[in-house]
Amino acid sequence: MYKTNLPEKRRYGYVVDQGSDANGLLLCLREALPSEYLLRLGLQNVLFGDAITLQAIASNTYIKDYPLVVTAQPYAGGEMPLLDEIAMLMRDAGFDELPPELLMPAAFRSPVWYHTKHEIAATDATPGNFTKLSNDVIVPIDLIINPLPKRILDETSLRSFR
Amino acid sequence: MHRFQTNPKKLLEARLKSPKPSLQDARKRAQAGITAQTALSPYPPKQRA
Repeated sequence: MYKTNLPEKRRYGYVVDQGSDANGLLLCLREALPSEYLLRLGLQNVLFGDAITLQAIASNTYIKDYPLVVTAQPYAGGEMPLLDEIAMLMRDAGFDELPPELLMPAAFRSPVWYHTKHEIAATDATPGNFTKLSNDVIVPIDLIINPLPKRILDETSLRSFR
Repeated sequence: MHRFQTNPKKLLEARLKSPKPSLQDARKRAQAGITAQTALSPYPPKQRA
C-alpha cells in the first residue's frame, strides 16, 4: 500500500523534542524535517519489523520547496489492541514510560516512551496506530519515533524536579 | 506472565503473513458506512482526538 506525507499541510509528521527555556525545557511535539520523517520510517522498520520502503521523492505541485515523499508499507490486517496491551508491548520492546512531569501539559495525547539503551523516544502509541495480528503479535503502523539524546532528558529532569 | 513478540524478524514474518483485504471486504466496509478512503487504506480507522 502506498502513502504520501501530507504536503498540502507542509507536514512530515512530528518528533518528540525539548521545548524552550521559557517552557521549562519540557518535552513537546514539533513538526519534523523531511530527513526526520525518513528516519522515523527506518526506526519503525528496525525496532518493530516493519518493511516500509521509500518509493519516490517528487516535487510538489501544491507547495514549492516541500517535496512529496511516497512510501509503501505492507498491509497488516487485524483488530486494534487494547491500551494495556500496547503498554505491555512497549515495555517488552525495551521502552519505559516517561513521567508526565517531563511533558509539556496537553502536548501529547498519549504517553511518551523512552528506550534508554538506544536513546529513542516514541509516542502516539494509541490503538489506532497498532494492529493486533494474534495473541502475542502486535505491530505498529504509524508511531511517532525519533532519536532523543539522554542528555536532553537529563536537562529536562533537572529543571522539573529541582 | 504474557509477553509480546518483539523480535523484528518474527514481527516482519507475522506482518507479511497477515490476511490481505479482499475487494469484498472493502465493499462490506464501505456499505457499513466507512468512507471509501478508509476502506482502501491499509490502516484501521483512526480515532483522532
